[in-house]
Amino acid sequence: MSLTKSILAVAAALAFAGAASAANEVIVTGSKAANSRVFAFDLATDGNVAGFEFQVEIPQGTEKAFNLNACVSDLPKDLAAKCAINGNGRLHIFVFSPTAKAIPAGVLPIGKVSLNARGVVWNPNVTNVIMADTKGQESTATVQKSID
Amino acid sequence: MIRKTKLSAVILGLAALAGADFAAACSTAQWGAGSPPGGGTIGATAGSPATSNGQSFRRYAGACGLRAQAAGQIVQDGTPATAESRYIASFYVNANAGANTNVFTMMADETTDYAIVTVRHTGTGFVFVNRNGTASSEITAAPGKWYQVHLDWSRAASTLDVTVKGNAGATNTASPVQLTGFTLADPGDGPDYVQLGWVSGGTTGTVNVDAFESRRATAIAKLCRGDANNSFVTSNGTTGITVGDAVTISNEATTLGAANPTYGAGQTDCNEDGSISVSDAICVSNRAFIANVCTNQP
Repeated sequence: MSLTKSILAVAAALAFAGAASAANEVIVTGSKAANSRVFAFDLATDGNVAGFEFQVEIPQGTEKAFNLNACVSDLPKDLAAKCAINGNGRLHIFVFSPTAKAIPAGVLPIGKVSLNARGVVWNPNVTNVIMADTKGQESTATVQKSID
Repeated sequence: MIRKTKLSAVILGLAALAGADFAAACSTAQWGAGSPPGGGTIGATAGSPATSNGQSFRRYAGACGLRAQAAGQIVQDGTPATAESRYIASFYVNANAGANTNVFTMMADETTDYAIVTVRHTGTGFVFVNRNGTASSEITAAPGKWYQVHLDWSRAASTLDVTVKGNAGATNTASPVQLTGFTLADPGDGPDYVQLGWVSGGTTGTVNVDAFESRRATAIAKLCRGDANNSFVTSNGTTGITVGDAVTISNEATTLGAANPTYGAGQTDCNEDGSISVSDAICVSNRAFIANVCTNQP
């Protein structure tokens, strides 16, 4: 985790902890500059989430230019995770607890992706955010982006 | 166990009792409408899975399924009327009872009752048998796996359109297979009642059935496998398969064997193999990446 990302994550965690009513939030940090297109994903959780997923819109025709090797590599090993470009042409991150246990409250680092396509500016738009509690009940979450 | 019929504009389903002991809540009381000979239930019992290995009750949808452990253990529905010009039925079957196990019959109630249509699991697939005993070509269906069998019988044409889908897509008749020769012994005859379960034949083992529905018109779509929490369309309206389904399955798999297992309200057996485990949650995680999966690959 980069320093910038660490600061953002801590700030998000503090803001999250201080919220009057806890909520969940996908946090995206990174740069949309053409020469530095690495984005990191974290999840701020309220302690009631046993699985989550979200999708990220990507520039058309760039599917093969993405490096997804570290997309979910920061997650704890007791979580099952998949990261790929889905049938709708979006980056899709899907994470769940195989034992249906809640992820501890706080900020959960997920991983990072990079786009290696010259001249393409990508401002990742996160969609289809779904949180699942330990019973499989679904809810949504907010998205916080810190793109410079 | 879900039983629904629209032949008489009645839709019945097992009430879900949140937090209740589903094994105790399962019932076959909805069967027997139309007073079929012998009553609604003969020998078969409904229940919920007690363990993850599929050695107890199995079900396709909801918390309950019907299990038959010997020939003659069936449920019956008498809502068809003799003059029906068309009879459409869908049910889910997981048969593992040896060769030539009859799992469904559409019966004419005459001096000597006879089967207008018989659905038979040969041990390796399904065949469809007319009243003269002529069997169709086999549609591959492995024992111990779940399949939707869809039937569409026409009185005027004496045809039977069949589709079989299951075993995680291993069997999927893309369009109905039209079979001929499904005639009546007398033009005044017709479907009076149907039997579902382990009707006859076979050797040893188990026949599990679930989610029966019948209609006069309109095909009955396959339930979407892996839609474990039965939400189908989520709050953002994108897809029927979400992470909520994966957690629902994980929750069920890890509580099976406990005093009060937490059953998913939908189709938890994503890989349709007859047991519930983390492999079904992984199946969901794969299906979540397929566009319009519940429509294109139910």
